[in-house]
Amino acid sequence: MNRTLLAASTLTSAIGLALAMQTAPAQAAEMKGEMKAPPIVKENMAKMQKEHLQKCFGINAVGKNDCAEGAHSCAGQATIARDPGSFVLLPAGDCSKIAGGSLKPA
Amino acid sequence: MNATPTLLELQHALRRALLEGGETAACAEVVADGIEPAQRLAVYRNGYASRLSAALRLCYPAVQRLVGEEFFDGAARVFAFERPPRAAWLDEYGAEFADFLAGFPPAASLAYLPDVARLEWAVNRALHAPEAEPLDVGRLLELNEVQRASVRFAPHPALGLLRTDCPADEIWRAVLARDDAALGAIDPAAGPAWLLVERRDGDASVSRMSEPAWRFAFELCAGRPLHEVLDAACGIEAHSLLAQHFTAGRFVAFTIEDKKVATETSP
Repeated sequence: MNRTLLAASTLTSAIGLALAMQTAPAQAAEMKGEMKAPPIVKENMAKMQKEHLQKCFGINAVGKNDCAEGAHSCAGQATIARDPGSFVLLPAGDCSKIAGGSLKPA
Repeated sequence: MNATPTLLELQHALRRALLEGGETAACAEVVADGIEPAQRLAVYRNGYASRLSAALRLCYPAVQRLVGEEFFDGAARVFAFERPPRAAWLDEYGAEFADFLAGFPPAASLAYLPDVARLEWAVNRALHAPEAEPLDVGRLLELNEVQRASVRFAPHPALGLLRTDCPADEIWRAVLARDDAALGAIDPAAGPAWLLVERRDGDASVSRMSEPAWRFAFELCAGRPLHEVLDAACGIEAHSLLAQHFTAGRFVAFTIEDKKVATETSP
């Protein structure tokens, strides 16, 4: 029964503490080391909503189905879909700024 | 020519044409009016991959910056053809991208990349999860001692707990903030990080926890009864951690002895 007692009293003091924290300034509850997401994360979410990317991708306005976001022209580049089998790239971004970052093929 | 295919047959044929390309059964159903059927379908094939790649780009900005746009787009396309979406809902597309990257040979030199992707997916989930009313802590006071000991909690849908082998949170923050000094100071081999991802004021927030505190939260979120979680815990101030979880609204309901209490009895 000791375990029960211990668990119950832990919860009881947690409830008391939580109720006390609710009336205290919000900072008291902040965890150490917390990081807000960099702005781009939220910007991207807004973009998703704006561009309706969250909607069913199979259903699209008539006439828009052939083109993705206007980045490719339908008649030209779009028909020359890059063959995923011929992937020969190496990562070439900010990974090079991380110490020990190796860009050699594995 | 064969009988007119059913809609389902057409859809299956189009799916094959999208995923495999080239001369497929769907070609027979496409009118060649100036453009060959296979070429016409290739437009859709490319559009399919481009749209999915765009969706991934919005989910994984840190991964994209780490590997560069061209690499990212290439990887996203391979992913789109290897693991086509199972739901039409684009918000759910990309959950397996971290797994995919872990087994993607061109990315093998970046051991931390799958971890960063997993963190980004958790952030994405935190942002898109439905709203949920936090647990009213006062209701726990109605429980008797035995019930308090065996209480189980249900986590907020936006909450994510993940353990990464590398300091994925530091990499994620530094690369998105374009903080080159911080990037240069990161040691990818610094060891694991125990992370809590949640939504605060409509924004995603990532916190680092100690391993015991993380385990405690993880077991609670798995719905195990409190006394079991406490038995397994060591080296933590359990009541203080619990109070923090309550205050931050990380639980939305509680149950005792497999009976739902919090949600059923509320008005």
